[in-house]
Amino acid sequence: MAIIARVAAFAMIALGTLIIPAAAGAASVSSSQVTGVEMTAHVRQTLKQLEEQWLQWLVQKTPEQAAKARNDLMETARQLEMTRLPDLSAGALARGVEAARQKDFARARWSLDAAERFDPNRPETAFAKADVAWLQRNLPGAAGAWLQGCSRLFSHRLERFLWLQNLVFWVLVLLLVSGGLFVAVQMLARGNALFGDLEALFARRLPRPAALALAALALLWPLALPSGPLWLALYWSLLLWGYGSASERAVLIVLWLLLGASPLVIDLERRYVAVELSPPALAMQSLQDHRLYGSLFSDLGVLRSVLPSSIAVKHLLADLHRSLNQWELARVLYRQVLEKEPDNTSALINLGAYAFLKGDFNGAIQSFQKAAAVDPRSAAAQYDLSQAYSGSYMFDEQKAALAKAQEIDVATVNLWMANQSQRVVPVSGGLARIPEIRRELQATWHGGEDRNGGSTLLRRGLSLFLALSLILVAVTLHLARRPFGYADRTGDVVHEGAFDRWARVFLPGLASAEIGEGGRSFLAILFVTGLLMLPLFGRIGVHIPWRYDPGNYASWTLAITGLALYLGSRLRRELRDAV
Amino acid sequence: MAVEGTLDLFKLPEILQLISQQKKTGILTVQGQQDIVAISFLNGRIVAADALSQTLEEGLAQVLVKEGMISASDLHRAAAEHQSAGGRLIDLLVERRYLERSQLLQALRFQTWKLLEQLLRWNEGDFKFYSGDEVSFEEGFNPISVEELLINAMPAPAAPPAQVSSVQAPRPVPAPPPSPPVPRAAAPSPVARPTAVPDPRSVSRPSPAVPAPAAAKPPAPAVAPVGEETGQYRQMRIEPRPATPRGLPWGGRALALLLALLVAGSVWRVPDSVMIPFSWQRRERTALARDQRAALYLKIDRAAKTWFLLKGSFPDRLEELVQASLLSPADLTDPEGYPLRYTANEESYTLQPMDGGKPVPGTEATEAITGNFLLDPEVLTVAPESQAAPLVLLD
Repeated sequence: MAIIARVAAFAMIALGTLIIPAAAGAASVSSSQVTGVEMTAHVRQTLKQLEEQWLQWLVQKTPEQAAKARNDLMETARQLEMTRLPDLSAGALARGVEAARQKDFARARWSLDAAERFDPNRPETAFAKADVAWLQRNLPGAAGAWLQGCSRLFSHRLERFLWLQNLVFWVLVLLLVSGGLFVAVQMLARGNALFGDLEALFARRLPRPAALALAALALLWPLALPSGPLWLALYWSLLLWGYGSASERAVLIVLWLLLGASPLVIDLERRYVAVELSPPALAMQSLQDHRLYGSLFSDLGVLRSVLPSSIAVKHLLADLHRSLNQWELARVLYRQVLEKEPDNTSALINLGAYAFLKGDFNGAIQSFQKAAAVDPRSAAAQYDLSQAYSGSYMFDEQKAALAKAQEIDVATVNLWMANQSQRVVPVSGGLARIPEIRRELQATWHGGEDRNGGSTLLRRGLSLFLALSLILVAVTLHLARRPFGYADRTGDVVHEGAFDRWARVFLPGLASAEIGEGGRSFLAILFVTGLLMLPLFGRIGVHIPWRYDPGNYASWTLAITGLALYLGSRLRRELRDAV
Repeated sequence: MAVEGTLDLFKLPEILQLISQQKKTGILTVQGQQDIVAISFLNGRIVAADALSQTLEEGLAQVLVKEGMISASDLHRAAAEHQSAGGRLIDLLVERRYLERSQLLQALRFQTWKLLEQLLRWNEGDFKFYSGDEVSFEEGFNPISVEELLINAMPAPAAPPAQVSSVQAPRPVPAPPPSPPVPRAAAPSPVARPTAVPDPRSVSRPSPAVPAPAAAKPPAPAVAPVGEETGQYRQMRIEPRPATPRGLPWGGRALALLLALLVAGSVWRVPDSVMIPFSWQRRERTALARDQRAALYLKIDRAAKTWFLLKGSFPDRLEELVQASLLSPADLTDPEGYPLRYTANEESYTLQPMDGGKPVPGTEATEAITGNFLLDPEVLTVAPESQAAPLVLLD
């Protein structure tokens, strides 16, 4: 995985501390020195088979042979209880696009079909199909595939989560940038009055040129400070406070508070994003989705090193081993879970399943009975108990247990009965604990920062304090200036004439600012700035780790179209209303 | 303080009478379907009126020519001079002695009267009154009282006022009451320049979007709550009114442009810096950049390993991944804006953001195929002693 330093460190810790106790009870298993998760030879052989089948798929020349290789791959993955192969999907997708660029559209088509089968319903595959259709000059096909890709954007948890987090970041930047431009528009509407007042103040004792220079200096000195543009905007917003209407002052207050609160918001969002992008979280999500990617086992090793004493993690890894048919390893971990959580129903059931498969029906009956006692509404416990009774020739008890199971959930039990290949039913309680593990990860996350809580709190609180101070200073300054000839006056923005007319049409928020409509002025600026900032959406926040990049054409198209419509409608209204 | 409503609720005469009775100073704007008219009141009397459809100077020029106070050719000549000299056309007419100031004032009064007459015929529209302490108007203008207007200029059944006499000193009819000319401004502020005469056009001609009030002053005490609870006639907020600027005429524009450019530059260079902008938030910025870099490296890693899956090696350059559409061009730049240096060997690659040719400390990352069962043969090495058959749930 790409969070390289952390992965390496965590993997080393995991190898050194956690694998040894887990593997102690599994004599037939060789611990992996590479992945951080123990694998039996059978599992390795299955993975090796996957790799070989992938190479076979790569060299196939016909769609039929490729389809056979693809089906073999999926069948092998299913032996590990995996149904999705995202790395191979990305490889097939890249191969398809490469083939299309070489004008081999037949190969491109079956490569993209394979990508879809390896990891269904991915937006990347749809976007790649759109690009291939575009290369084929198939415009409707390209548009259809592109729309399909857009509809798939939110169908996967990680990408949806990151997209929404980026949206929060983008909105925050948009609001703050619009705030800066709002101050600029205020300066445009009232700057002459402000400048004139400052000049008049200095002109009491100085000649006019000197007064003008001093007035300019008084307005521009914040540029000399670190983060000059920010201080300039804040300083001007303070000076313009007295010239603004009530709604404009309200907008300024909201902007100051937003600026003060943004570090706190960012820190909170960052915490969630960092955890979601960490190797353990990626691995857990993949396990939940039955996605097998190349570094899955390494990332799970990182999870164990990050939360070495977490019972939920042990439970999850026990389920993983069970799904890989590594029952000995699973049994060790289930026992560790039961040491801390004696009433853990799923661990009891799965330990009973292990005993059953080993032919220890008495041990299985004891485990299933305990599970049924802890959770009387568990159909799996009753069903497995009935199977264990059957193995021990206790048919009366078997019937009674089966009847209870059917009473609890007859449909599911009938499905289990219909599956002749599976005698007892395990329960994936570990996968159900993934949200709990996420919470534990968030609790241990500290973002690589020092733990000096006092200074951190002070640093972050300082922004909020500054925002509150700005309000206080603005009011004080306003009151202090009034006795000295303070005059609330709107400047003559632009002189009457053609330029005036077009300035009001094409400068958003200006017409509202002239008459003191702060809210409307800000919203007009916000709308246009939002359109202009659409192409920046991919640059703000975190890079979503798509496996295929569809480019930024959509946001540019949307931005240009939106701006044209907006300005066109304003122009049309202006020309229509012109007398 | 502003008061607003619609003409279907309150007729214009009622509104005018109300302003007159309360001796209000301020601007009344009336927006109809075709036009917007702004009327300036000083102590309840009308001292100026202007319409969006026709500037004061345009209307005044028409009156002057129509009443024979100036010839069309003189007017054209004056207009041409005005183009080069700037300032106000009506000032230029007096300065160049095309007509006397008294004539000008009478024509202006007539022009105002005509406009008010037309306005009184309106039955639909919105009105808004901006109260204040002073308004701008032409110096020496003889105010029109509301009573005078309503008696003589109501559209029907009242008779229309007589036309301006074209003999010597044309006067609007009916003759103005013998009220003394009012001073230029009712209450000049301490910083107001006494010689500055506000431009009636810039004062009373509202913008097409929303009518703009006239001269600005500190927010006046609230207007008496006239009809505060009645229908659409309600009190609004305090709003400033425009005034003649001082200082440099382009000062505000230049400053606004400067700030807009600075904001745009900041957001274009490093957009995320806008969220945590203060100098004392360096650690927060660094931490955010670190997390963003981790996400970027993850994306690059996925792309590089997809390449490895197909080619059996890492790409020589990151641009190859962009060409294969596995990355976007924006992915080649660090979240802090530094370009990424990429070096690859047989089994690993290194990413390093570079600041002017120097590596940015603490940001280097090396990734290898280690641990990836699809790429790393070591993962799949089966030890000879571990050939035991697994337990399976299948019978």
